[in-house]
Amino acid sequence: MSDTIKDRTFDVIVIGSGISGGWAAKEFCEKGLKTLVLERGRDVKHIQDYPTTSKMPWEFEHRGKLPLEVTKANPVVSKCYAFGEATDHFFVKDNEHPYVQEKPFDWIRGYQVGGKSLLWARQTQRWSDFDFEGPARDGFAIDWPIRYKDLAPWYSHVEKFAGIAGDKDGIPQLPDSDSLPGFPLNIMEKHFKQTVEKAYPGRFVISGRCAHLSQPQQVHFDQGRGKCLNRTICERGCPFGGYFSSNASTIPWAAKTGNLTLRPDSVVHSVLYDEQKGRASGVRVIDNKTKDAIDFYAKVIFVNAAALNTNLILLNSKSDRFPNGLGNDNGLLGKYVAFHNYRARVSGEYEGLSEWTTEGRRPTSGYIPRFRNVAKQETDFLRGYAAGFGASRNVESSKEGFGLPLKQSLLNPKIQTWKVGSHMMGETIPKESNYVALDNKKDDWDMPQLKISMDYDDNDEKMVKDYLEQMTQMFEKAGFTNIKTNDSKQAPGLDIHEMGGVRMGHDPKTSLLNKWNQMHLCKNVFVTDGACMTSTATQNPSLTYMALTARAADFAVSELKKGNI
Amino acid sequence: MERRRALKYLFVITAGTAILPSCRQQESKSSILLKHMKVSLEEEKTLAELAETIIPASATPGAKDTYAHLFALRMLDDCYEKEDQQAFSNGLKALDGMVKEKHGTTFLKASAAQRAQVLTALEKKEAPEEVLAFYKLVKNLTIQGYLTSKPVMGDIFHYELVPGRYHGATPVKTVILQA
Repeated sequence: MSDTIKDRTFDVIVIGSGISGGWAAKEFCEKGLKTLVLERGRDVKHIQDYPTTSKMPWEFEHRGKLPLEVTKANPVVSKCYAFGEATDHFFVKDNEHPYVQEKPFDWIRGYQVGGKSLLWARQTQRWSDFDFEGPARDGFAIDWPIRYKDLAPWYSHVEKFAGIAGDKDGIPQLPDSDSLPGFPLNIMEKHFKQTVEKAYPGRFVISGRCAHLSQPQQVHFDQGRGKCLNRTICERGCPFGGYFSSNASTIPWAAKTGNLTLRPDSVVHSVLYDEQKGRASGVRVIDNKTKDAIDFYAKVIFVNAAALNTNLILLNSKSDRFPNGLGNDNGLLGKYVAFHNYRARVSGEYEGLSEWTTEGRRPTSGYIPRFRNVAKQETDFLRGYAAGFGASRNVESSKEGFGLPLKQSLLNPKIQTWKVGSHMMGETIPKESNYVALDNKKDDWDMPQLKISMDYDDNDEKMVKDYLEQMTQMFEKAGFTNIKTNDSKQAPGLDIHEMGGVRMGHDPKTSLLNKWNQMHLCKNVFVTDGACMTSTATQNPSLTYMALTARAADFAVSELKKGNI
Repeated sequence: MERRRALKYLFVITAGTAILPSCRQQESKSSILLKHMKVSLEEEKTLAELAETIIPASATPGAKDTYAHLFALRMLDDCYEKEDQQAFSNGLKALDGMVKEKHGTTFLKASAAQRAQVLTALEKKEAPEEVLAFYKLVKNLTIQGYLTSKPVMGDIFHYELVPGRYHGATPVKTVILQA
């Protein structure tokens, strides 16, 4: 095999093949650019590499539970709700990829082609200007350099291709998606919706918009994807492509153009900086298997390694010009990282509507958009929280006794009373004291380990308290009983919504990226994954990463054409 | 003739010595490979009969038909702490001790009526603590294994991997859950 510099030169290098990297690959390949996608993990091909996708429950030796040996060896990832016997092959194991927890942080990772897009919860809510204007209005972090109107067409662009199921709700703080029909709320959730919307003007209960093909269009059939068939075992990988993932959608789409080179097992060490030209020249990779260093070159580099790993790569990209990491003259790289506060839950029961139940399964549930401090500041904490809401009836049987009476009971289960539950998704305030940095310890690829230092603050504590109070009141108004509140006090991380560290902003003195996700100080490097986020809002962030990526790729292509980069 | 007989004996002896230890080993081990626990075939059979007494076969499958007892062993061996595994082993022995005291036999050799009497006592919590804890563990795992087995979850309840639908308001009276 020849190995000349020419063979290792591309128009664009995309670091990472997850939800945002996949979008970068698709956009560049479609526009005719030779694109190299580097993925640190193994290849996962749609369908053929989903080993558990069609297994029946009884085909799992432990019925979904992982052996104690696995959970004890992996205390962090074992806390993740989606980590189990059917999915453990898609998660990073603690001991294989150590990191330093200066403060407790449960870092959930998926190192493979597709990254965590195989595993995500697939909730896709748009941001509004109430979110983009948040930092400026409330005086925290820095002003976002973009507004909703900048991103709206790109939301539409990614929604139409990915396929988003959702209703037209007309809620100012949660703009409608360019969507396929939504999955319905059930009769119990509708009762809650009516109660809440009547008793609390400005509060809404809607069906959570999600990246599922409720009614596939031609563009989805062209991707080889079909209708979501309500299996709700999505984390195994979907054989129908019913939900959006890089594996089912953007990566094969990019590959079809003939412009994609996908290189799995490529651990990115750093972005290479050319001192003479004053720009990045390429990317240094450590081959996952041989541990050899190999350099690749391109005109444009997109860093989409997932929020914290993007920080790690840029911090490790040291040169004479940038001794503290690429583009990091202001020393802010790695700082102002934030996450979503998922600590609190409320549950209850409802005795009414007993003649009704549900049938089949549904890949989403109810969603309550942020209602606190939306139009103006009204509480003793900044910002607010969105919440999930769901209602269902369990089917159970008495386990009393033994013999034929027990058997009779087991084989004739009864529909139980309605159970309702809600969980909070709180905005956290990015702060300089929450940061990631390089540690002196190295990993097996001779890369510095990432040191993570993130914590809750007083604002988060007040928000948890308010969520528990407000949700309890709303539950009481709806006639729910046996209401229980819970604050898990879980460490940051399990929300899997870590963001920031390479934030966007107007000013190179206070930010790393401009309004096009372009590095202020290294114009041919773009960061469009969670690392670019200036603030966190309350919405599940992946849709926004996708839209930002498509927008930035479009800009990068026009800049390339103009000869600006 | 003498030589032939001698050869024959020699064959029997060598074959016998070759076979005997493996026979003995087979008899002392459970039918599934366990990593952490030592369970004899005798104990496995006792567990199977206990599971079958909890959920007997009738027109529909019983615990043994669904291998619920082997599921219980697999779960105990892989997913439970050492103390739980020890409590299982001790409890199983204590159960036989209890049966011997009351009925002068083992659970395995006891009649169906005697086994039922033992479980009636266990359900009433009239037994030593370690037997009760053991019974609770085995009963829960047996029920779990039974309800999630193919014969029950698949063939009786018709579990759907691919429902293809969600109805948010279905009258309860139209839902058929029975076997």
